[in-house]
Amino acid sequence: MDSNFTSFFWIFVYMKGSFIWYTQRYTSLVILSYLIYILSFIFNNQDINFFSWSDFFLSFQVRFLSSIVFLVIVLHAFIGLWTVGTDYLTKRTLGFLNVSLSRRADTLRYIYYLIFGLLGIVYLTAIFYIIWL
Amino acid sequence: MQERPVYLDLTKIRLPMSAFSSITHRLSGMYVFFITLPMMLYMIDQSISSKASFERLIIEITSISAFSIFIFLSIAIFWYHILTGIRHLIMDFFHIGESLNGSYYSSIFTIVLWIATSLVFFGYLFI
Repeated sequence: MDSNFTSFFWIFVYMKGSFIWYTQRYTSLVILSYLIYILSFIFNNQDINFFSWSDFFLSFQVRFLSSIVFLVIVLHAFIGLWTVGTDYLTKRTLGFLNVSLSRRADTLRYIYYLIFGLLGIVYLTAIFYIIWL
Repeated sequence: MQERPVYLDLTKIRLPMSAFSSITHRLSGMYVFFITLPMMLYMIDQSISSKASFERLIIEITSISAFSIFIFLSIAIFWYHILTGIRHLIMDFFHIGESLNGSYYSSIFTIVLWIATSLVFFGYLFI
């Protein structure tokens, strides 16, 4: 953990690193399985049209599955983006570009966390709205 | 007294093929989160809203235009993220290809496979 400020990511604070590591790997398998499932429908229906597609995608099972998988996608993305932030938005790596940028590395990293955190919430709101309403 | 290096000088670090594969996996992941994912949301929304919007979307993505090329590239980058991700999973879970040579050749193989399958997808989508 890089500092107390990470408590913004309360979910990670109580996690062990290995748990985050495994979550990252297993969520990727969930997302891949979901993509294969959706794509297999598309490729098995050569004469796909609006009605067969929307019947499939808006069936209760697929709605339910999509809702869970999009939560998993955002979790996977948060872990990945957080890792990239702690690796590259640091005093040492930003010092390569600019010294004054390097002094603001911590602030920049928290702004970056805030941006992708909010974007993740926006994506989830959008997909729930699209699927269920 | 010799000055201690405080900042990383990236130009002094060699980038082997496996490191290239790893960092492009991260970059493509960022691209997928910030661009491909909202684009997918837009496409899902258009495809299930109405019959007219579904048919408009199909015509938009199968005829060559700046918009459809942008969609093709975004999906290709997502596909690259998936392929390099599978490569990482094989290394992490089965410890296959973790040697210097193994990771070099698997990186090359992943990129060749990505280009080949992307070209096939390009043909499938537009021709």
